[in-house]
Amino acid sequence: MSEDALLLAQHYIDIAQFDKALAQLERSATTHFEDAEYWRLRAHALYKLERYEDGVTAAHQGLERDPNYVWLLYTLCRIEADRGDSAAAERAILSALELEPENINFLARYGILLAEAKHLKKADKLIAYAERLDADHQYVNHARTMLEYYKGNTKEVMRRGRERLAQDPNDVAAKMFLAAGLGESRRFREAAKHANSVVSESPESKEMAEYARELRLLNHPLLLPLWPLQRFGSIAVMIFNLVLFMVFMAFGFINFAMIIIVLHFILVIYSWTMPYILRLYFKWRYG
Amino acid sequence: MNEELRTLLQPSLQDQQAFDLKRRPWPLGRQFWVALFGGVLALGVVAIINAKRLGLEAAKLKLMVLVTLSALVFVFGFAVLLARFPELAFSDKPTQMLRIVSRTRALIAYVLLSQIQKQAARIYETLHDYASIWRVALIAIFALGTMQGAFVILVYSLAGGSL
Repeated sequence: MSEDALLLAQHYIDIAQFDKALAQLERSATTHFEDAEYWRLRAHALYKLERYEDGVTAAHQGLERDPNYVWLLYTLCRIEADRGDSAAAERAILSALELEPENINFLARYGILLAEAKHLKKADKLIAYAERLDADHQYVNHARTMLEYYKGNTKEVMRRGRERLAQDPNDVAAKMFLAAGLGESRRFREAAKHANSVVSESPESKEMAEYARELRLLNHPLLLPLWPLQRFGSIAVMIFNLVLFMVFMAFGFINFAMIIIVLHFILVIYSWTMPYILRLYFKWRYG
Repeated sequence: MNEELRTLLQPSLQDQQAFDLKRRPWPLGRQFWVALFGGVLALGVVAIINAKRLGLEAAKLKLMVLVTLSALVFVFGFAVLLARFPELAFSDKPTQMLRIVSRTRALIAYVLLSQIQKQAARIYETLHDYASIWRVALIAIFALGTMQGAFVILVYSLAGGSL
């Protein structure tokens, strides 16, 4: 019965019902207060609810009861990383790795942590080490793709995303990477397709929902005049128009040169105002 | 544990500062407007503060200072050149030429400075939101842009240029 309570909490976490998981854990608090697993589940649920301070407290409570519980250390690492304390996250994951040095999940997690802290060379070596242990491990693949994204290798990110999607069409991480890579390459329509798919399968992912909303906005017909800015970037368009302006001026076509300036000015004002108006409209319409 | 793994598992992040919500960086693209309207000095200051908030290492910060200083030297150098050789101005208003050259140099500096910050910014934006740049940008543009403009005119005048 008492084990069922923790299993039920784990189930709620697995189906992304973190409030219910927390409520379930609170009901079984008196029975499981000295159980490190109780504190791990509690820390994890709080982490997913973005209550990072409470999550860290819960994790430390669990570690007081079992300092060698590696998965609690792993959870603590994730909370500290998302809280922005890389040093604390590193201490937690290195403690876990001291106990299980060749745990693929921990190695990959440490690799991602290093990459997020801009230690890309060391992250590369660590993930390469994990790949030698198990190149097909999902989390290792995930870590390698994240690293390539941070390095700016958008093509590699998209290649890996497509490869994984070909193996498993329901791979949510692959769709997220593809959406990010396509967005970087300014192929917003395709990116939106994958982002929307992720959101429909994982509605708890707020960042992805926001990204999908942004992509929907960028694909709105009213933003069609902004296609050159979206495709080539505002700096490239400005330089192009500046060069056109100078060429027209050099050949004495003053009127054409003025038209270029006016059109560019209108485009800039439109690019500042229309997306803002559309965001307000979307917020009003969809909440 | 083998030697390779032992080396890889040496801590590397213990001197990292914890993320401070009150000191979030600004989007790189917005710095373009600081360059365009404020000039090199405004851009340099904003970009270097931004780079510190992104957690760039000292070597890259020094490079950014170097880029900013060299751009400023160019602008002042051009002011001296224009004073000595007024025929370089394509109109009878040399200050207009000074302004155009100064802005163009600022935009070139922006491209270089944003490249230096690009990778850190890419990592940052997957984890956190940016802060709004507008207040800082306006202060930089008006205060530092005006200061730079005044110094450029001063250098031009001292070099014998007529306004």
